[in-house]
Amino acid sequence: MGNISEFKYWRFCAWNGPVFMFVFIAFWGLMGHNIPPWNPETPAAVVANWFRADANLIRTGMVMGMTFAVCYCVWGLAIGRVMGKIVGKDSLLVDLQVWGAGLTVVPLLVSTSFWLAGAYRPAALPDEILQLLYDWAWLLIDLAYSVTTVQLFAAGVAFLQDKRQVPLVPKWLAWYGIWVGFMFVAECLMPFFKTGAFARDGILNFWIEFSIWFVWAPLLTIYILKAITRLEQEARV
Amino acid sequence: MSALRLPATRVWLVLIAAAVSSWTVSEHSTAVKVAASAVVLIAALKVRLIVMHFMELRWRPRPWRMLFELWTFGVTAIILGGYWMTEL
Amino acid sequence: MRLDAGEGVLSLTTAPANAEKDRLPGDPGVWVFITADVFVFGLFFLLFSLGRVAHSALYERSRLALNPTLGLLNTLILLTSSWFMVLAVTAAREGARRRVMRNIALAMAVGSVFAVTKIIEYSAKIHAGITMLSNEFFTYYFVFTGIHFLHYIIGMVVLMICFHKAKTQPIDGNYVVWIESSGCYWHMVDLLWVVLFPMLYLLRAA
Repeated sequence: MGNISEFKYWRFCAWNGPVFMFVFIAFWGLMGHNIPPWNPETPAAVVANWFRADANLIRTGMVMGMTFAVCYCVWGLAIGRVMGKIVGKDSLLVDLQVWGAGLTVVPLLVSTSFWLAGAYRPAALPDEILQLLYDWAWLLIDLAYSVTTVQLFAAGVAFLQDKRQVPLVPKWLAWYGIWVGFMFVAECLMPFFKTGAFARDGILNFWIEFSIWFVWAPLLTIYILKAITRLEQEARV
Repeated sequence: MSALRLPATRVWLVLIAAAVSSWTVSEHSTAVKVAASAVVLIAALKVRLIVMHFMELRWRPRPWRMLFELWTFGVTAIILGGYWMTEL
Repeated sequence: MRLDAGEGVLSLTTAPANAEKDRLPGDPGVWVFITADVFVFGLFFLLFSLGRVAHSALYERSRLALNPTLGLLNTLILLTSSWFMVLAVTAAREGARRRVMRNIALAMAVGSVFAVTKIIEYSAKIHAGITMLSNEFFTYYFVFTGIHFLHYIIGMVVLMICFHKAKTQPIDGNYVVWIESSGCYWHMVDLLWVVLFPMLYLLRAA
């Protein structure tokens, strides 16, 4: 195991989760007009004018989003350490979760860069190009779901194997995470619909899909932090 | 133990009968609104049978039973409600 | 077997011998999965019902293109497959390995026909030029039955795992939890279709 003070790094990394969530809601979500996103049938001129009128707000939102995107990976590494205590640190499940969390950073970084690009010199760009940037960013964020599914599955499977009397992470949360991982598959419908429940702003593909993930992440963080405290106490003995 | 004597078999027979009768009723009934409603109610009954007997919730903790009863009721109400609202 | 005490006049089944009243059958975590799934489908039913209220003529016209006989066949298939799983779980509680394997195999054999009818049904639609983009009714038809079909495929995989475990592992308490959980998941697949079938196929407009 090594140094007992390692746990404080674990804890710091676990706190990156809530930081990520806060930044993403405030900066990407609210400033970036992403809660909910523009309905796909919104005319290009409307989207373009938003880029032009709110350019600085969008730039700020995206700059913060891009800076803090990496926190998702850092959070995943903390989860991986706790997983390691359950299935052994050489378990492939730990790698899968960490890679899943790490790769999730890619669509976050790249899509925010598209919005940032649109806000950089919007006056010089035609409406359709600005619309394309907005659309492309959303297609990427939604359809990159499977990298996060890998994280959710790996974490779930590992936590289900906890043989402790009181598991480090409760089994129901492990199952819930696995369910969320499966649910993301519905995003495959998103590119086919410009309106209705399956469009990018639709009740399923936006509201439900994002909400179910935003329930999992904070709950998991709470249990990871508690787990770290327990593991630290066990290590002191 | 012969499968035919098992209680679950009775449930299955009821379910099959219900499925066939709802199909018959919907396809060959003149009182369309009543038939369609009957079909949905039969479905609700089938769901209850599956939940209570196949999933064995009948003998399990009350909160879960209530949750699934509520779900069955809610779904039936939504479908029937939607159906009758268009007929007005 | 214990008889259930006063749960109504028509008592179709008795409480299973090893049923513990204070816990759910199988792994409780699987019930998180099942509950979440049924509620999402509940939302699907709501979306469909709202759509039907808004566009009843379109929905009725489109409904006529569906084949209720195939729908009924699918219902009978899943109900029967579920029944075999109930028998398999009962056998597992009695430790009867061969009966467990036989019933799971039957559940899978019958269940596999669902895939055949579904493929026939979907291809017929697509050949007729009907896809999920044809209109709102068919969007819901393909998406809801499609997502259900994905659940079915997962269920078949789960049944295969159950069968394999029965073949290679002892039919002990752990196995019983496994097969109970799998059975419950499979019953969920069954009951969702029991609602989808009349909702999509049988709601004839007056």
